[in-house]
Amino acid sequence: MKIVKIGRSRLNDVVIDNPSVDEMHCYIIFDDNGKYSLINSSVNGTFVNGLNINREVALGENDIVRVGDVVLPWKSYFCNAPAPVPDPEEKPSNFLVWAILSAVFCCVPFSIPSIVNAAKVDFLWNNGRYDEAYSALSRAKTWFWVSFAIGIIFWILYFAGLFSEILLYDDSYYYDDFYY
Amino acid sequence: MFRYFIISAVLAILTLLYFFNPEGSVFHLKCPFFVLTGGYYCPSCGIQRVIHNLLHFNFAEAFWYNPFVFIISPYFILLIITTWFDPKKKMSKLKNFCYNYKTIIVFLVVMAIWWIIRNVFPVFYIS
Repeated sequence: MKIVKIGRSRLNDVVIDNPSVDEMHCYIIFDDNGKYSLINSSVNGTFVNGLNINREVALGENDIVRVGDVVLPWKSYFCNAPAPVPDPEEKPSNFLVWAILSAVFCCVPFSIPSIVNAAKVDFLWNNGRYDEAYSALSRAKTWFWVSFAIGIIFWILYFAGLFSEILLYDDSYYYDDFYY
Repeated sequence: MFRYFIISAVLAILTLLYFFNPEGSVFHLKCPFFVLTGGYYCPSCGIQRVIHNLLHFNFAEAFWYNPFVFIISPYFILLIITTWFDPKKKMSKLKNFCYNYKTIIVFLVVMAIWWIIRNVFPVFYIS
């Protein structure tokens, strides 16, 4: 039987330095029957396939385990192969602030899809749909740049028009009627 | 590095808005939506006037130029702080609240309602 202790503290077998992970977050046990089970010892919960487990659950080969903001490559903890352990996968950075900024300062109609997609990123990632989360993130970024580009182009044209009007202002124009 | 750039950009904008009143000025940013649709307001039209009046502590006037922005600004500031100014992640519960799917939906719905209202009832008139 093999027990792997996972958490932020350096007393663990697997140390994850992320503030969303508890000191002693969870244990994964590989028993003599060849079965894996996961025991949660954290306050914030451990998530298997997006669901928060109560205390203990049996793990299948393809289950996805998440502790805090980090997805664990847990199966590699039990291989005796000397291959390097892949890094735990962290939650992608959130684009929501940029999306809302573009709604406030640039072109609103094109920022709305950006905001909606940015909100979806968090939601999908927490439910374990990582591929969809990444594609929602790229969509959010695309719409943000569309809105930003339209705003910038508009303002460049506006200020160009403004300054050309100032520079080309012809004072003699208004004296046509009075100048004989 | 990026953080300092953002802070200095924000301070520069605030300084400009403090000294120059956007009301009646041609040199400030105009809302693309307002210009291109010939006079229909977008939800954030008037935000520069709101910021100018907030910097001069005229809260009543700031409110009348754009009530939506005035009321949403705490949420917005919270969003910025929890994203970029929280290295020790002490405010993660607040952050989760800000980023929550339901909060965003509420924000979008309120923004949509405000967008329609301000074009149908031009009480909050700005030129």
